Amino acid sequence: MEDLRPSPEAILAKIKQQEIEVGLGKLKLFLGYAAGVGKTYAMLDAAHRAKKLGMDVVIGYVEPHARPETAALLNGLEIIPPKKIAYKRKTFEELDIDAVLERKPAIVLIDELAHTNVPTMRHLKRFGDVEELLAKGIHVYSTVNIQHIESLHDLVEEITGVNVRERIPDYLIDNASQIKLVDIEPDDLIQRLLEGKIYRPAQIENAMDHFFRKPNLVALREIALRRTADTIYFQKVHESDSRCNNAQVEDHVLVGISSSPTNAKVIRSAARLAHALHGKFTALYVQKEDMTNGDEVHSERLQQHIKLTEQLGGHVVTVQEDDVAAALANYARMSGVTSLVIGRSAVTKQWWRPNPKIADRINDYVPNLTMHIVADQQNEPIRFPRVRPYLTFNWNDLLKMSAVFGFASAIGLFFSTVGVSEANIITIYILGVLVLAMWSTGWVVSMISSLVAVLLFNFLFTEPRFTFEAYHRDYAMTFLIMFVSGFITSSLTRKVKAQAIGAVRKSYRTEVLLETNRKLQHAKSLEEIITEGMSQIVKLVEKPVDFFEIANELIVRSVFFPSNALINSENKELEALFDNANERGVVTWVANNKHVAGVSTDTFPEANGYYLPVISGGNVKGVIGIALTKEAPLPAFERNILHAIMNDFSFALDKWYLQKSNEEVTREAELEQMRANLLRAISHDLRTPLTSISGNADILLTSSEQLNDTQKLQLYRDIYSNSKWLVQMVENLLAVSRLDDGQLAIEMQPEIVEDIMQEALLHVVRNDNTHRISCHVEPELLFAVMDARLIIQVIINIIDNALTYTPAGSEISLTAQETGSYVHIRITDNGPGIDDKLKARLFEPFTTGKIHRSDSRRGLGLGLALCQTILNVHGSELTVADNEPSGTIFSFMLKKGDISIDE
Amino acid sequence: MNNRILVVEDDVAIANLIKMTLTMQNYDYEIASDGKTALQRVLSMQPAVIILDLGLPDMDGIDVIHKVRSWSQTPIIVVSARGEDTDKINALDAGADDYVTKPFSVDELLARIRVAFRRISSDRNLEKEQPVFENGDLRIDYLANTVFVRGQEIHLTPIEYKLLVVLSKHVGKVLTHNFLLKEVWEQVSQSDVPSLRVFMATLRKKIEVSPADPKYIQTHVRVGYRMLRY
Repeated sequence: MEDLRPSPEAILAKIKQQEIEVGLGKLKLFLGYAAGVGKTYAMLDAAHRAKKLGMDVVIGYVEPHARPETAALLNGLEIIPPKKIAYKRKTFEELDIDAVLERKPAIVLIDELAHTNVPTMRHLKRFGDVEELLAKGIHVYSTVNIQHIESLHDLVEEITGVNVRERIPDYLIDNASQIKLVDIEPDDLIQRLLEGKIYRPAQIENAMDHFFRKPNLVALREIALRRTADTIYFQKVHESDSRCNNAQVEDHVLVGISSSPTNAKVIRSAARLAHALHGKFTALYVQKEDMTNGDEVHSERLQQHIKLTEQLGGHVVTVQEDDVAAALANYARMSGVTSLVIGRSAVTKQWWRPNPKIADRINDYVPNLTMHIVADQQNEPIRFPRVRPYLTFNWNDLLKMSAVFGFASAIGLFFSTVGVSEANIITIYILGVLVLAMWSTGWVVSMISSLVAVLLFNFLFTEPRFTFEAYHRDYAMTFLIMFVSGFITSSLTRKVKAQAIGAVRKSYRTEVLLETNRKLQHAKSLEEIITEGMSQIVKLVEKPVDFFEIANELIVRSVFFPSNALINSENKELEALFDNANERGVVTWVANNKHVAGVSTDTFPEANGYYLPVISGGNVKGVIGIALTKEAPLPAFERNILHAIMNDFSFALDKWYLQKSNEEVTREAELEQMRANLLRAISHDLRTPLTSISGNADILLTSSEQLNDTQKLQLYRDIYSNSKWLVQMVENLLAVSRLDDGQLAIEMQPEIVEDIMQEALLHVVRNDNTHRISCHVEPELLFAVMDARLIIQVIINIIDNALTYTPAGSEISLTAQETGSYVHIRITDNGPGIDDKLKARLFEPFTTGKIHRSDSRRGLGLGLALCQTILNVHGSELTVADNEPSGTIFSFMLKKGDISIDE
Repeated sequence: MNNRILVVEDDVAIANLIKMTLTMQNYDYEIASDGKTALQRVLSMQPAVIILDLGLPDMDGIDVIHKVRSWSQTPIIVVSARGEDTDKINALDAGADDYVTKPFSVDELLARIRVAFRRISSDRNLEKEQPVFENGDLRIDYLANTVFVRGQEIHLTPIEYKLLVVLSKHVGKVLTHNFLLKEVWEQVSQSDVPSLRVFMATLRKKIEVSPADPKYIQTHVRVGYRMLRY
């Protein structure tokens, strides 16, 4: 029984999963097999019941043409008015998602999950809205018909002959927390149709003839029932995952992705199979060497297929391999694939190849693999490729052509005069065609150059010469062969050239990825990480990139990284495209929802860029905007590399944030240590003056009559000076606590140096006229950037020290001088000076922990160490030097403040 | 003119200290130990000067200032234990005239009281808007927009003149940076404080005998400026 008990890790994982789920909304789906089965009615009914239970239910969107019984159920429920959108001179009503988010109900009702939004909406499809609401923790009730489910598309089409355009991915159904099948007998449904409860009378006949035929309805009902049962089983399997994961051998279905128009159907079949087997579903895209520069239609279709696979819950893997069969077989063997699905056309398509059929070859490689060969006759309109850029024929090519053939003809004429045979001259022309193929791009050039070669040969070398006629009838054959061989060689050359370019591009891309990793590892600061990461992305996509730094889901700032592939003005133009409220709105949405958006996605497809969130430690730290356009989205290969770079980038950010938090912990510990030491030092320092004050006061209270006036005066004076000292101590402590609060508590401002010095002199403790203190500032109106309170404290401490340690009558001078962009402040005395041994330990902070001070030297440790700390905060340093002939100079620099005034 | 002082202070030791100081200087005084009593006393005894501790047991000292200022212009000297400049600035902006920070010396407190009394007497003299302001060697002719120091006319820029006028109209009162900025520039932006300092420095150079030891305009670092009455 032991092995049946889930491991602690598994339980933890499950709890974690549940915790995550707590934050997410739940989807309750009302599934029907045709219009009119009563989905909306059932949904509203459920809403009323939920409301009775005290839930906060609102209607987000219900089709306005509701039937009377359904419309009656709308009463008593709060309705969020739909958003009215004018598009192409018509007004559409759509779900107002922002209003729902604002209202934040517990449950929101949204009819027709498969609906396609008006293009100006945030999400292309309504299910995008629903997913966003779920992610924000709002529960959603929604309705859908079975024919809208992606994987059932072909099946439904076969049965009903209707090509359903609005489809939803399967995972929505599989992950729905509840599915309620709204069922009704087909006969009853037809009855309802005839009673006019579903469509208007005019439409009834048409419906009866097409969709609402009884066999259709029966079949659809069966599909719906089966799909529901499958989903229930799917959920059961997933819930008990932890228990029987190891007990079962999991089925793994593999399908090949290609850009073939029939591939979508094969993918859907494979997805259905995987679903029925409750197995893993993987799609393999075999990228051939010469496919990297494939034309747009192909790459666009390929992207659609990749997206389709992902929507069907499949995992897409890309491999580089010329031999599709070998790639599929290898992957199947390595990844434990149990079933392989391929289209019939894939099996027969490559008949001209010398190698045997793909199915046979895979069978040879992995004999124990089950293969499903799916019928995939053309069921989607074939789009003819657009006119390709290769067709263009420019003057440059013409110039090259005349040069090459001029040269070839010259050699040919020379050869013919020296009696070299015609065969060699033909070779020279073919060589010319070859050279041209290498030089130019289009196949048109190949064709024309082959033709020109033949014509030139005919004109110049065949009898009668210098005419386009030929006496010998063998020449017809020669010309044909010459043309064909010219054309074939040039086509091959072109292909080789294209492959070479493709290979270079690809290796460049891979290089970029490797370089990224290296560069990010070396980046020291956050700024460097961002700059390096973004420049690598710019290099990869050859488009400018805008990085939006995000904190607490708000844009902190944006940094634009121009592309070297574009000229300055183009970069400027693209930068301007990023800088508007719309794009910032998209960025904020991406940051809030941790989801890609923009061009080539289903969310904000009308935006000016493609936006990806940068997630580190579960939070969005930034959003990357890439200036892509609808006409040129990112190719698959680049997209993969981009994702790899993004991973590296997030990882680097993670590392940086971790390091930062570690540093903070260390700093916190140091501060803690400093505080402890400080407390020790203070209690030590306080004891002496307190003893003096309380002792003196005690004597005065108890035995005042035994003291003469001089003695009394002495005691009063001591109390006064000691308490003054305590005041200064408290000021220092206040300064320490402000330093402790960090940068926020420190206010750097340009201040007039003279004011500061005057203020400091006012607060000097023992200003009992025993010393001469002078003050001089040059020039008069000198500003320095500082926190006034703290710098005043520094000056007070230093002067206090000078007063304490120099004999009466000494001179103390305070000077400030402008030195370049700094203000040099010096406090000089002409006392005995400080001996070198003590100088070394002068600024030793109280943080050293050990206190070896005699009581009379109290305060020195704290005062000067504090001064040093304060000046360090100002980016400066307190230095001590000997004065000539005797005495000490304390000095420090402050940044000069530049004040510009306009009156 | 009376010489009654209302002392609002809840700490007995400090109250004793102030009491003793005032007795020695022959001032009339009364002590109130909380805000409510203080407000009643202000009405009943009509003090010439109020010494107000900001930390009172029943209400915030700032509120006391607001309430007093709603009907009376009696000078208020704030006593604050809080070292933070913002407290002083808030009190001054609420209508207090001056401040001392604990621990204060007896001399310091007495000096502030004298300044407050001088202000009252100058207010008496200036019952109505006087066309000319005289303070020691300084003479401002508001109508002619001219300034004389020791009988000599001096030239001031428009901003310097405005500053001087604002200071003279509130002679004896500490004016915060914000207040001055609002009065002179008609807008408040912290970034203007440095320019205020520059103008103040140039103004001083023109009217003070020794700018390093100012006689007319006092600097209160981080808080503001005050013109002293002679």
